[in-house]
Amino acid sequence: MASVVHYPGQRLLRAALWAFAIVIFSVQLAPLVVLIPLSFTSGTLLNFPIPSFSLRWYGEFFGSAQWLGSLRNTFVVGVVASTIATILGTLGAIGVLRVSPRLQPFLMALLISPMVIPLVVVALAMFLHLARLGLAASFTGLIIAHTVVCMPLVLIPVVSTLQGFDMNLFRAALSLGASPTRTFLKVVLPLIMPGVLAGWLFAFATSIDEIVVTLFVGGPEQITLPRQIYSGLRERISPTVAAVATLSTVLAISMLVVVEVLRRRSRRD
Amino acid sequence: MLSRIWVWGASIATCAIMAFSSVAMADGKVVITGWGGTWNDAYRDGIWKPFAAESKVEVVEDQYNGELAKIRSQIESGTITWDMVSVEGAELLIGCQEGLYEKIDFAAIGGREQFMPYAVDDCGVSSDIWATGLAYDADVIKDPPKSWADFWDVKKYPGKRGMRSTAKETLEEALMADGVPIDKVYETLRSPGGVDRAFKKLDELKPYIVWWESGAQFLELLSSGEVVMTPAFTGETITTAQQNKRNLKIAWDAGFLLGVDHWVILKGAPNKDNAVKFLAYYAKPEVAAEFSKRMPYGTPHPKSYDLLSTEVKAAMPSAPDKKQWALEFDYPFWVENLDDLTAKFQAWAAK
Amino acid sequence: MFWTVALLSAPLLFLATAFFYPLATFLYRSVDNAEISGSLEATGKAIATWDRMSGIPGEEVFRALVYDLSEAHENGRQALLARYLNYRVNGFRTLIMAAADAAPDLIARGTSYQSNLIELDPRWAERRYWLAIAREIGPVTSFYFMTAADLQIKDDGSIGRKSDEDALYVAIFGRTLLISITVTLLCLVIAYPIAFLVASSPPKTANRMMLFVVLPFWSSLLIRSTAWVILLQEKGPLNDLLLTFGLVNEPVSIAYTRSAVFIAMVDILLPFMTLPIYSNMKGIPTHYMKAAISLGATPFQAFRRVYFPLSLPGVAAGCLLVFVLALGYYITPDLVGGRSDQMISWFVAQYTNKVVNWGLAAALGTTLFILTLLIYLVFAWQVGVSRIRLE
Repeated sequence: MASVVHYPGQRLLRAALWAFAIVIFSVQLAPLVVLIPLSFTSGTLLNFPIPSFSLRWYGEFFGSAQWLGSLRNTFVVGVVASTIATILGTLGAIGVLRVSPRLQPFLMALLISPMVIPLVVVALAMFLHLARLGLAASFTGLIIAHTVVCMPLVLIPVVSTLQGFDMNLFRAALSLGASPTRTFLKVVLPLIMPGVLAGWLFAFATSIDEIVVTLFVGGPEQITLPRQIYSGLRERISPTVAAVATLSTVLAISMLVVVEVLRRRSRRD
Repeated sequence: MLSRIWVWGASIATCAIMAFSSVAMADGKVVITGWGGTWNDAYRDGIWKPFAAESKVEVVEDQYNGELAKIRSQIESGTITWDMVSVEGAELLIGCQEGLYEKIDFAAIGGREQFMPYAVDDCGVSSDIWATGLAYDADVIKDPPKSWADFWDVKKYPGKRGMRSTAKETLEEALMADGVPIDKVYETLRSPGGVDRAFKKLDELKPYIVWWESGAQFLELLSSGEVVMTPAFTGETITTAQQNKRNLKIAWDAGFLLGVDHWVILKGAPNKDNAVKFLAYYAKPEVAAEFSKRMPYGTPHPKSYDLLSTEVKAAMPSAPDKKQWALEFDYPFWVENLDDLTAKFQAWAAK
Repeated sequence: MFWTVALLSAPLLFLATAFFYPLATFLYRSVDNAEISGSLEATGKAIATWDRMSGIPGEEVFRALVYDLSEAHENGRQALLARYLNYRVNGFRTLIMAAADAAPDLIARGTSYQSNLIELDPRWAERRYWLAIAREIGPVTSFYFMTAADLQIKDDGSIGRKSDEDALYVAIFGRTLLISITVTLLCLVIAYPIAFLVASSPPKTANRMMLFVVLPFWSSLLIRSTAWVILLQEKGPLNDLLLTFGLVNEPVSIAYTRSAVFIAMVDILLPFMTLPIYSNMKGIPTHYMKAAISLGATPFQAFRRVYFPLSLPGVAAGCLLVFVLALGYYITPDLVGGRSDQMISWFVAQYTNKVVNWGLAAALGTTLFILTLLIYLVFAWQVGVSRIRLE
């Protein structure tokens, strides 16, 4: 990859591309940066100029049962939903690659369809369905809904990892007398683990940021962090949102670094 | 590498188990839905927290922006998540008619006679007596607007306007801006062509309007300077101005709409008994007064007013000196027309 | 084969029960008419004999209606019936509510139901209410799809376009497509050069750049949208900057406009364009370009004839993802746009949260769903779903 083609004007072109990329990246950084000073305001409004410096909104976040409760809900729903999604998505990915190539695209399209169908449609359909089952406004209902939305995000990375997987290893293990389950656990799973883990993280990141389905399906006792932020923006504009944003930016960057480290490791393997 | 992944996964699993086990086990609860923002703050500090401490009933709060649909959808889908809601007068009457609310058992809360007659109904007890008036930032506008016609005058007062994204309120304001005297507003709306006249007046201002839905949004718009004027819930505006040392003012003399919000209990509410318990607690003058002390709105209890400072009473929309500018919501008109005009208004605004 | 089926059955069974079945019942709601037909069974049978050509139905239909309303009153369904009929013809709400309240009394009085009902409210003598009942009494209705297509049934039974004043949704679908196409193109124009730069950089640099590429993916959509409002508002940092540098003389208003919707949506959706393009470009062997240049092509020709066509599958995947995701956008335009910048998803939510009209919400949602599905299928058939990659 490093061996780039050499042609006249190449330096100029690359310089221009770099300049362009830097502009775009800085513009995309701006929304993250702008909220940081606002999180230190002493007033109750989310705009400039800020009256004076204060840590009250961080105190508000860590001292409020509502915000901490929403953090817990997000975490519980996120971990459970993305774990179920990872199990189902991994099974699905392995299954997809085992069917005949003619059937593959059709199955794949079916399995990742929750990702491309408009979220509002998914949300409203699931709400009406879960309400009939008496599961709307319950954790079970919310977790089912999140699992549906997260599954495609596991499937995609696992399928692409599996495509680089040498099926001969699988056959070799089988021919040496290992049971399929054992082969899966001892041979296949360790090799595709980076993909599965990346999928889990994608799913987790999606779940903890999910708002549309949560708005429709969750009740007042399943308020997740995004739902709380949404009401912090629409119903009660509070600078706590800026504090949460700053905290979550720090968290997101750490998660991003973790994923990158994993990706690089998987490449080295 | 793998061992690290497992350590990582195990720590996450541990955290998840801890999060699960920390789910609080409360004996009883009641889900109360208010108007959010500073309104919920005032209720929480003044009434909900002391109630929870006294009765050992956990108060789970939620907030909404007055959409009757949110209540209808819970009843129709059979997923009732709210026990009590504060609704406006029109939504009170429509919902009572449609059987969305439980009838209030006045015997259980100390009798109907203790309240001011207009502040109670078969299905509700007033949560606050409130108003929506023309608000502006006096640090920005030096020459205070005096009428709704001034609100429409984008030459004299350049800049955008905030407006509440509901037909109710907005149509009345449009007619006042069109020169209809306060006491003729509903007469005009009822007359043929009255509604069209209001929409035509709104057409003039449409390019300058930023729509808001919640009490927190308009305060954000006004204090950030994004809009120069907006119809505003007066209590929220006064409280926020005090908290942030901002010079937000209400032009009472332009004419304002005076309304009554009611606590209702949803039909089939899962914690109905606790909701009744809350109403019984709330129906004491000294308790109801705690809300007004934090937000200058009226209470249904005549005796509450003796417990309030003159300063608070003067800031209330129901203060006697403001009566000349007050237009009381004509709830029978809105019961008849809410669904139609809401649909018409939403379609008009979306174009 | 056994293992394949076993592996696939778990996710497929889950999706079938938790997703495809709810989706199917939701789609059915767009034609379901149970709220009306379920409460007016007797009336439905009686009114079938009415020829609809002139006048109003006879005594037996009035009688059936009064009995139906009395029953609805008893089991508390009159409000629902009144509201759903009111969607058809304005004014039905009060008409039905009053008649249902009076129904037990009307039954006690006996004949004539016709004159007694008309005495209660003279509007019962108007043909349009009866025509609406006769038309909308069946178990399924086309009413919601017609509303979604800005069509209406006139009193003479013919189908016609609504007046410009009442028409709404065709324009909203147009707006949804326009916004989605614009956002897709903007994303493409920005993402292509960046993907090219990343793909042609040494691995170490590329990895660092990828961190920035996926940044929006890892930060909350809600928070990004709000931040854009704060950045773009009239007294916000952007205007301060523009004013300081003398680029504008007075603040420009961008927040709550279409431009703000474009900016925020492009910002959030950009990774969905960059990642598939980048993933595709990584697979293009560098010696293709070298060969073309060494054979005498100018770098631009080599790019246009060799590199660009090879990168098209990635472009297609990115465009599909961004376009399809944009079609369903709701929260971001809601937070950063004005009322006239909202797309169809917003109206679906609106008909759920502001006006409980699940029939119309379902019809609008179904139309959007079919539109999305068609695009998705064409893509799956022409390009292949395996092109959708997020790394």
